[in-house]
Amino acid sequence: MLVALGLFLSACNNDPDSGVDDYDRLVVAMPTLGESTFLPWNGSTGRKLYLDPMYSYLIYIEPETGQLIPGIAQSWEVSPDGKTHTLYLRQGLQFHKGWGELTATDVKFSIEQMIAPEAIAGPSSVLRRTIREVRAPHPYTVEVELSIPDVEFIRGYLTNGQSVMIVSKAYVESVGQDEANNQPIGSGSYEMLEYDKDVSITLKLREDNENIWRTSPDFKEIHFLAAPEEFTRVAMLKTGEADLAPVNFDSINVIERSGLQLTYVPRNWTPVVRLGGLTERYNNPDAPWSNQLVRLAMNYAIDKQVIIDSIFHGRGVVAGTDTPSLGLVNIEGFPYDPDKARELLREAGYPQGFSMRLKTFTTSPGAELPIVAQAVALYWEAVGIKVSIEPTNWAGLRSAWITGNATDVAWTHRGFPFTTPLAGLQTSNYSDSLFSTFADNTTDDYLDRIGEELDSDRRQELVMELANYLRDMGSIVFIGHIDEPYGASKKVGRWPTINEQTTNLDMIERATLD
Amino acid sequence: MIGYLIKRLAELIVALLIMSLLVFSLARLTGDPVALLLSDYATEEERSVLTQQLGLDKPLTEQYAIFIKAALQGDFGNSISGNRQPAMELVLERLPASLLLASAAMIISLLAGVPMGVIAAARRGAKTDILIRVFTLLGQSIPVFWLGMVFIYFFSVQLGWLPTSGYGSFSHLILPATSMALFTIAAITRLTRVSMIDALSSEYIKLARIKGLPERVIIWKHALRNSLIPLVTYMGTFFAMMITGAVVIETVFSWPGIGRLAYQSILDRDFPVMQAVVLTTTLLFMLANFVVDLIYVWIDPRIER
Repeated sequence: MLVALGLFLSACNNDPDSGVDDYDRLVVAMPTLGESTFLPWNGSTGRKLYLDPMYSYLIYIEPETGQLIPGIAQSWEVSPDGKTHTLYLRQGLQFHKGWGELTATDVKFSIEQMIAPEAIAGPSSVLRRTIREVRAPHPYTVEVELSIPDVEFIRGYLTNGQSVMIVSKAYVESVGQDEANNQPIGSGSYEMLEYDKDVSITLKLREDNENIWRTSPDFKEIHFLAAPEEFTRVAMLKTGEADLAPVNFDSINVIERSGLQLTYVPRNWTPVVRLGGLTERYNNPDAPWSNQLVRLAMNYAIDKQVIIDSIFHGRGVVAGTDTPSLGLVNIEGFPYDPDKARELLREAGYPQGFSMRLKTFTTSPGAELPIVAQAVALYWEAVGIKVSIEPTNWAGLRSAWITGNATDVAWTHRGFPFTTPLAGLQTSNYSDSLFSTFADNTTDDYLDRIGEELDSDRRQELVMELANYLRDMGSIVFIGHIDEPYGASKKVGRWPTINEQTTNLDMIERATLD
Repeated sequence: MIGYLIKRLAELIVALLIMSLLVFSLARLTGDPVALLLSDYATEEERSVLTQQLGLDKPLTEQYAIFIKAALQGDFGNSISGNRQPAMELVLERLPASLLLASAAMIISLLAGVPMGVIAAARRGAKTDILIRVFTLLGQSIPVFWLGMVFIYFFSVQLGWLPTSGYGSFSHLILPATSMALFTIAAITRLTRVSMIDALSSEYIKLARIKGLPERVIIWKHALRNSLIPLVTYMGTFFAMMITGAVVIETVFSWPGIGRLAYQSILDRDFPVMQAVVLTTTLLFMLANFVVDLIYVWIDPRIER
């Protein structure tokens, strides 16, 4: 009777029926489908996983080397003053469903939409300030003129490490933004098949496959499913309902025991502890860590390698920056030296230590932050710093942070890779930035000089000098650069994603099954 | 009856007003949505502009007056995240999924809870009664999220009978509805058992027995009918609780109902959606109780007086 019940229930199971069998379908379980808006400028970068296979970028980042490689633009150049960036487009690229050839007009339109006042994409804010004008002097040439020089503008904002995807101007203007937001038309390898709000998004390989130009996808369909609960995502991997899903480090042993695979996005986030009240705008001289010696003590007191090995299964390296961007990964982290930490505390006038509050919450990736907080608190306790851990949530803390109500607390946080080191440093260490946690005259001066520097080598030297200064000041408590784990079925082969963003699902290779 | 209806409707309006004030003020105590909407590259100036755009720079009393005036016309404002969709539209999009899950859970609860309660009462003190009482104790003690995970483990991962999660087919409904029903099955079983014990010791049942009616007819026809009155009273509350309190189940089973919408709106500090969800669910809760009250008055007209 039980078997009969099982057979009946199995028969009730409805898999998506689009004529594509499991072998040709890649199913990705995601904690959230984000805002589920499909125009690049109408939502957060959390949508990149399902937008990237549908749209194309001007330039791509080569996954192995991190070098820029041609995309829609087959070549590009920067004017000597660093203000005008000219891109020469590939000819003959076609939008989905007969919406015509992709030309400079579409590129100009897409960038202009990204900087429109109502655009809410991640880089919109900085691009609005940076871009003076976008011109299309020729059907295959685009000029982006900046109001301030930035020789790294293309790497910083026009690659697939960011969100400037190119849409069809004719399509958006013809159907209107509302319709285009639900039925995206791009020039990528996949096009939208089906969208069930908050449940699933299905992409299929574009029908006019002679126009697939950048990748050679192995899967005919990519099916995204919303699965907010970690346990459920892991169960989906085990049952074969999903082929790929972000997982927490907690689940790694379970996944390994189940015979599934683990694949990692390398070094794409950084657990850190930020200290409040260390900027000019929100300064708190009463906080013990306003003293540099205390901050250094807090760094020396922690054995980061043990944290990386025990909480993150060894998938990371001890870091001396909070941005795992190209060029910054080599800044050396603080060694574990509790005696030196105690000595520094004595020198700073805290021989008995002090009491402090440490707020913590989870992020994605970053479900482990509360455990990191516990570990950090234990290490600090050993040198006399008494920590009271306060669970909170990201929204509440972010609000307190930017309104000056977090100057007397520390909090665990997640640093992430920016497309250029400058972008990351400007966010965290420039006085004008709302989200800076350590900014003084020196950091402002460095950042101004880096921005104006037109020579790439000198620019990189200045970036390294600033990063070393931030490390030596103990601007935050550094932990490590960590990989982001994904559980994967045996169907999933090589996934050449990039460090800057989790992307390139259209390049996942199908594993050869024995 | 009309007087009773008017009185209950007036109570409903007052409760909605109090709830609107509560949700409006409590939501604003928890943080500022502007902080979440701003990109990491934002400046102070952009913060001010966005605060102004969302109308959050106005005094709270003025914001509340604007909200109430618009809400009376059915406009709860637009979501402040994503596509800025009207808040009520978002709630109404999710409501069918929540109603479907709650209805399925309710049907399972009644089909299992009432017979178990009757059997336990009819065999009071026997092994069956003890077993059922242990079951109800467990049913009301086991955390729903844990039960959901256990169900996924056995029925999806180990046996492969049902999908782990999702929405759109009958098979997707079985695990979340059953997990959600367990607590209510236990509650209905206990309620039915107690009322049945009362009914079975009443004079009219004794009379029925003296008249020689078969025990089956006495229990399932005469005693049960009278025992259902208290159960009906609780049905509305149970049903409304299932619609509004399914956050955990909806998360574990990836069910796109209003529970998950409410949770997400709290995380995003999406005030308009939060307000629309809370007021809609309050209304549902009160309407469910209102309907139950009417049924109760219909069953027992003395209540009206």
